[in-house]
Amino acid sequence: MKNLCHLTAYEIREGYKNRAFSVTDIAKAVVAQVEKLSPKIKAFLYFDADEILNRARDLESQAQRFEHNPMFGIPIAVKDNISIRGIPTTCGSRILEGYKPVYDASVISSLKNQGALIIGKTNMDEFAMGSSTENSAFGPTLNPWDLERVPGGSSGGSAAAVASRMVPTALGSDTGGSIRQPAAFTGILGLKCTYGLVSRYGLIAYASSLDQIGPMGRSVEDLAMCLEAISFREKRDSTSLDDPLGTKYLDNFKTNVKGLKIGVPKEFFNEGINPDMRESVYQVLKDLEALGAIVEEFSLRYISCSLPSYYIIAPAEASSNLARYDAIRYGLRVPGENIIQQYENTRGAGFGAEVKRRILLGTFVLSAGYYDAYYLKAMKVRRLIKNELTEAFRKYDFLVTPTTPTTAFKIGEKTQNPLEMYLSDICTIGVNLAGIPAISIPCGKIDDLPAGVQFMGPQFSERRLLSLSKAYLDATGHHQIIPSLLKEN
Amino acid sequence: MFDVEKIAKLARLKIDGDEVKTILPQLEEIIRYVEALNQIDTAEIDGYTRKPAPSGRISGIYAIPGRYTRKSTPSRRISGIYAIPGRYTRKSSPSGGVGASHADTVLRADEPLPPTDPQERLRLAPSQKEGMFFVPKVIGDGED
Repeated sequence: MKNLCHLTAYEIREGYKNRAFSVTDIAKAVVAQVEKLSPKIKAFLYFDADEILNRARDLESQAQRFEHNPMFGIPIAVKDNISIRGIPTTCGSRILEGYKPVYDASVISSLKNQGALIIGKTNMDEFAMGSSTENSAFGPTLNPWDLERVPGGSSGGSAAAVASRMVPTALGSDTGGSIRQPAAFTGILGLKCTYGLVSRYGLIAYASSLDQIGPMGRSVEDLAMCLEAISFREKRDSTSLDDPLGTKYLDNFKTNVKGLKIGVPKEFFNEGINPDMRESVYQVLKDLEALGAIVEEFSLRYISCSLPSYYIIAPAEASSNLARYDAIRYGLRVPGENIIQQYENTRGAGFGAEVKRRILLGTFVLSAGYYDAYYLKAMKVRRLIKNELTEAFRKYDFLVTPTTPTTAFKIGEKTQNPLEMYLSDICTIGVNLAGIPAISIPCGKIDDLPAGVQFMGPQFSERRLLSLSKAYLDATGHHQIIPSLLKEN
Repeated sequence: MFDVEKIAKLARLKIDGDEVKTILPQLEEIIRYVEALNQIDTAEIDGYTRKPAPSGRISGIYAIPGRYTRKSTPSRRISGIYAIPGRYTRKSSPSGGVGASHADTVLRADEPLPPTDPQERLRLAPSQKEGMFFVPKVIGDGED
């Protein structure tokens, strides 16, 4: 039989149905794989083997209650900005030292109710600010495809855990590409949903109008299973929405691509994109054409303003959200002579360099005299970007672009120049500003490193994005790529 | 233009001299980069910050075209202290209630939910005394 670690969530589910193995068998396989590879990859910030094995036994004893839930007994790793009651949650920051949430995030309550097997907390850039996990206060995660390279970020720990077959699925969060970019860098799939489809209740806030939790995995079915479990309207989250098309995502794929209209925005294929990456995505377009899609190039006028708008709006929201770290109710405290000094000392010592940059930037763009020129301007441009994409979806069913300008870069390559790091998210950010869904899926390899293609769709097009991905991956098999590190074993 | 020390003060963030030397040129570079937006004409564009929804629809960047309507007699009313009676209804909504767009405040009914245990919360505090958060002196000789 296949090594249990290599099974997808969907295959594990089938295995349970056929009584091929137990939840404990799967839990043991997860623990063994994490213990074997963690010293190399450093994907987890919190991992407790006994807790996982105990939970597996509990689930087995209650199997009848859970077994009709798709996520029953499915291992899922959780990014460390998603609250789990009683489990240390650091957000990759020193400032949350000793913090253990007193409640579960909505997505966690739901996964627990479904009988999922939650596997630890994964590493991330501090407060999800970064594109490489190098901004984690606890050191970087390494890419299983090449241990000298980054796994992307900010959900780099989740991506590396899935790619190295420690877990079949993981939760990430995506504010400007933080699910899709690491998925592309590690050869897996990652879905950023329509804003509001997955509740942010219990997600530690970075930029609230952009943040979305989403699933990461190695098959379309796995993303669909996970999405079914985590998407629902949460009354404690005023931005949470019902999917008007229903709550089912699995087993409903319409994989006939014939006649679908695919728009290819030229701006995503300019000189900023590595030529090999362009070629990879052109090949995807040829493959989709061969399946019957109609592919057409067109131009987006405002999309190139996405990155500058984002680096006004996201820091502005961050500076406000991160004001809560005041050394009073939880986390780190560095004393001072009075409370103002205590705030300053704690925040000065507790936040890393990138978080400080963004807090300063955000405070600046919101400050008296600059608000209209920067923040309001960026919000107006955001509206133009949103309108332009809405317009594009009147003409096209999907837009197809690269997920990233290059494959995974080397550790340390971009840490000296923040702006250069920001540019690695240039293909993904417009989606967050517009609140639309997008998926990144593997589209082959360049010099033995995975490349990712991004499909964007209009609001609530998750089912169609999953279906198109399935059609493409069924035809090409690109989701089956495995890092050579794992083949050696 | 970018007075790091002033901004750091506003943000309650201690930045030492060496950090300023590194961070200032980085921030200036980022600001020059985002100023590319100045080339875009936005005179006629609504930025949707703290603006009331125009009559007839909910605005906001995530509003779904054609999804919301305003009626004088709503099919479902949102209660709660900030809700404007009769303002929001949702067309052909199976579940009732309203969707969300971040620029519009959409509130649930103001019903109390079970609270988390105050003692459990208090135990997370760096310093506590007699069931309260313990903080240094707030009023008096502070700078502001």
